[in-house]
Amino acid sequence: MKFSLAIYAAPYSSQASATALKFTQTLLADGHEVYRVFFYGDGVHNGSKLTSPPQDEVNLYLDWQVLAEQHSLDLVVCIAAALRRGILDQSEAKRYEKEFDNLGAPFELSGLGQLVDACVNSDRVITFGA
Amino acid sequence: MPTLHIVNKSPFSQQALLQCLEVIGCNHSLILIEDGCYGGLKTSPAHMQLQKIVKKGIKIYALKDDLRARGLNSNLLEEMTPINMNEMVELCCQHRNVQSWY
Amino acid sequence: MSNRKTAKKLLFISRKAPYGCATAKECLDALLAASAYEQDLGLLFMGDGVFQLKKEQQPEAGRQKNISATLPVLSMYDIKDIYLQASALAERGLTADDLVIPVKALNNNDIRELMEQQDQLLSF
Repeated sequence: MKFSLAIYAAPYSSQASATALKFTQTLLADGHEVYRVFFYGDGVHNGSKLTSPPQDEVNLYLDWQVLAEQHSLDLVVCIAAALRRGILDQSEAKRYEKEFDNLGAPFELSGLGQLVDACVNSDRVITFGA
Repeated sequence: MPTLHIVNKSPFSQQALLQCLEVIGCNHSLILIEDGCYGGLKTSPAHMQLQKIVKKGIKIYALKDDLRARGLNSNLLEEMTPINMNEMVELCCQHRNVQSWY
Repeated sequence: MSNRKTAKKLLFISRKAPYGCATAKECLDALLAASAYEQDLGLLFMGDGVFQLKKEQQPEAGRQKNISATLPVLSMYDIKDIYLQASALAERGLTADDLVIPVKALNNNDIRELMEQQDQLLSF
């Protein structure tokens, strides 16, 4: 089946993102297709490349990055929610004249339309929130 | 076609599970994940309602890893079935849609 | 004009009160974005979500946008299937007269059936 996920929770503050990651890993291992993972609300923080947990702790940002690169996943971060929360890619950092950008590849900023598109084109959409 | 409900909050402190139980239907299923697992304790505020919905044929599951993380290995609702993530994926496939409660 | 034969039924479920967290507003933002995609959209207020409908909201002092001001605009975006959980309204001491727009009140059996009819449930 074709799944999409919507994640509304920041990493570490709640378990939701870790559960969503494990769910996605299981979907792929079981042979399902992951159409899109959409990060909205506080979920946009999952895309920050500045995430720096202690070495003996899980690095959720890296885990998402590795999974996405292995399976060519579409990790989309809602641009409106991201800008409000200080998650910017290079282009938005330039637009807003910020010194740094912090959205890590392969996460990409896009609009809420991508969430709707995921609902239209997926068999199942599962939401993970805090 | 049935709905699968996923609850991740403890009923001791939040309303998510009780609100889910207000609308859960006879052919629906319920998975308790994360802190939602505490809802499966015999002492939980939702215990009697959970026993009631089981009698209506509603299946109740809890994620094994989340039960284990929380040391929940006794005093649990007997009709609650521990499942792994593969089984949770399968339940998502078997139901028409999925409602998450948080 | 939507192609209703292939349109999916998407129900947005809003369970949080306005202003205390961003969830209520972000649900409405997602719903408005969805209105451009010619799908069968619905909005259901449950639990504390019914507070979003209350009249006389004045969030401007807290420098927040007025959520209740968005609700009368939804019909202009062809979002007409708007519902609320009747028991949630009653528990919170509200009646239809307290609401900024008329909304169909559903009992819990109706909500169950509404959920079962949807292709996707977007829970906020």
